[in-house]
Amino acid sequence: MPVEFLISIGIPLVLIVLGRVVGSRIERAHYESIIAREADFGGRPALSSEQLQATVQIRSANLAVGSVVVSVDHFKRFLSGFRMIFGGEIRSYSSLIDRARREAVLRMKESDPDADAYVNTRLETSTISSTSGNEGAGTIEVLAYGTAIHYDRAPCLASSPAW
Amino acid sequence: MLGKLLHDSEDGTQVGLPVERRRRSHRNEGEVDLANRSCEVGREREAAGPRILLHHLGEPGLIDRNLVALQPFDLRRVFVDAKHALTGRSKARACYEPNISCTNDAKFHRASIACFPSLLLQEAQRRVALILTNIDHVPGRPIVQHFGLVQGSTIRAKHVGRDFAAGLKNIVGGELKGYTELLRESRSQATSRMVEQADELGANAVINVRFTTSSVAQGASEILAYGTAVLVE
Repeated sequence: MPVEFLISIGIPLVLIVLGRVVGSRIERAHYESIIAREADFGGRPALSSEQLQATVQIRSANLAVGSVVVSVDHFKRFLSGFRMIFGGEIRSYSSLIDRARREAVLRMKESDPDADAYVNTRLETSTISSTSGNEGAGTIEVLAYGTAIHYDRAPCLASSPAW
Repeated sequence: MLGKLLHDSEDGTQVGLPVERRRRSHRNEGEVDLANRSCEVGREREAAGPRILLHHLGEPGLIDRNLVALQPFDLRRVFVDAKHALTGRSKARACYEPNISCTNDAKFHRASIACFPSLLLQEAQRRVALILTNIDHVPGRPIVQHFGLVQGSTIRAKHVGRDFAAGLKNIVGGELKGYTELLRESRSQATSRMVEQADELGANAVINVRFTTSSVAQGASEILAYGTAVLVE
């Protein structure tokens, strides 16, 4: 009986610790790569407006799509379980979705890296249905798509935000 | 949480099964498919090799219907046994039966997955001619004619292997590359179906393209792409 008890407590505990250690390392590495790549695309913003107020001629336009599927680690899932009791913002999930959105926008840009601007950017978030129960709510897909615009010559845009 | 992992793979198998079963109707052991297959692939290569010759040398009693006590005696006169083994090789015996089973089916299944990326590539190449935008015009090219709504969709089930990998990845979080790839493939297929439809209408651009995703069943999701087919200058 104590052995069974130890196993039933120990395995989830090991998973949570593993999720905490490896998960936070993955997250840090991911944020570093996101920030570096966003800096590369600094002068080529993704806009959510349809019209681009530019004085230059547009040469061509085509669709750019990027998507990513991410999931939370066990530690964050465990924390969110507590948060569900008291209510309030689940910060551990916010960082996950933030990462996913920025990654998706970056992939959209990378699908057409030579474009000068990305207009009418749309972001869609959908939950991937899990095979078991409500625990799979931590797996989401973020899709970013927009129209990549190529100018005839270099644009004279003012300094713009990263995305 | 371990229970969840196990549960994950169980359900994954159930999703995968209808596909596997269709291709091997002559077997009943659908439940142990996956475990079986890896053995079968190995067995195919053993057929008709030197190992069968050795096998026959080892059991001369079965061919000659001699008494077991005579076996050591038989083995000493190896050349006699060798003759039996040669004729025995073309005989259908119990030990040949595993080789007749479904290894080929498994290979077909894999081949169809393997040739899929090239299929997508062809579709992508054909698509190059059309302009896709998600704004309501094509910049710099006025619209001559509207053809109306065009759409393409696909419903995709998860892959058993990917599902299992995703279950493991769930522990540490981060990106599930298998699913990303799966959804990307599906989306490009939906898009190419939409483009085909536009192409048939005689359009040279699709404007206002929208994507939606909805899950239609456990482990399966529909991906829809739609837009307005137009003719631009």
